[in-house]
Amino acid sequence: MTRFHLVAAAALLLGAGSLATPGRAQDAPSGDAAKGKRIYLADGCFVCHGRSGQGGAYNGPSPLLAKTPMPFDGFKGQVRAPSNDMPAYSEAVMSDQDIADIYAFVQSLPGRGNAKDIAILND
Amino acid sequence: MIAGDGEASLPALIEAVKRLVDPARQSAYEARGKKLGAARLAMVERAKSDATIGWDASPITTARMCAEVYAQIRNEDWSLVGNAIRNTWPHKLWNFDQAHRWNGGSGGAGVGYNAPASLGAALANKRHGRLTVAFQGDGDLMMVPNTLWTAAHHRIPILYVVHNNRAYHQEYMYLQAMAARLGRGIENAHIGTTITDPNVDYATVARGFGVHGEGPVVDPKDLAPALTRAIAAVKSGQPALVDVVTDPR
Repeated sequence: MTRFHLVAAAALLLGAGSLATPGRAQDAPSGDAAKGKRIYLADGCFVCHGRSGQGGAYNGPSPLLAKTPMPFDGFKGQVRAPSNDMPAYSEAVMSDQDIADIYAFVQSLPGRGNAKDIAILND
Repeated sequence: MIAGDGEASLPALIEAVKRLVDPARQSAYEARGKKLGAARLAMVERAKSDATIGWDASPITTARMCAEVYAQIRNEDWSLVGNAIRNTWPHKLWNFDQAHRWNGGSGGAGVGYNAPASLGAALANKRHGRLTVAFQGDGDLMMVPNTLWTAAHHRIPILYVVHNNRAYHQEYMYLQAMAARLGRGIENAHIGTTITDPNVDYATVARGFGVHGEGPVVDPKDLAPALTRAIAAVKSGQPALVDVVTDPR
């Protein structure tokens, strides 16, 4: 199991926890989604994760980010010291506040819709 | 190792294997098949849900592109003969129920393989009357655009759907990863890897080579009508190309 998988598994476990569980999306530092979008596009996040946060693939899957259940601490950890082939973003090029802004942006994305509402996905 | 034509040999081979199945093992195989079938159905439902993300976005998502194509070919005798790198949606969303539905990739992922290899497969499909489709990376097409002339010259019916993310995108991702690994920052990764300024108009390129060209399609709502027109051209025996301006992956 890779470090990313461990982080993702931890995120899912935390996401399923009680309301008092630390590290949930709503416990993230305050971020500016509009600024986060600008950083997301300017610093190349969209190159692998898509403009809508839909994810993609490089040598392996690039995780879907729209409304990620990953808590902020795990998200920041992945940005700072990524598993697999993701570029690392040091504090010199991306501040903690930048990461909080990006996190706010991906949480603000619409995410999944209802596939049943799209006719060609149900033919 | 057995080398041979999969389409010609696999049906007979499958039947031969079935004849050798021990009746005592039959129920075990069926039980396993049910589990695998259920897992496959769950995966498809998950993929459909994932495909909704950015459904109306522009640039167009690869999920939308692939869903729109399948909606128009699913009742035809279709054959997908080429794909852009890491475009996983056809194998998640489409029903590959016959050997000729997919002819595999190069194995080496060489840039400039997909366009001519797909055309070769289209030539093989022509005598069967199949509707041949290839997703075509823009970077790959930049290596061998003369393939389009060959398609027109020899009247080989094929639908090229250009996954136009305006980049040699796998390389773009690779440079980002490597530059970061070496601590150089990623701000220069686009140099030599993106195909912008000017953007390439592949529909015009196609028409210049004598191929029916549609696009560039920027609004996802315009994709279905463009595909309809292009498929009509393919069914009349011509090659056609639809240039879809897409999100990177």
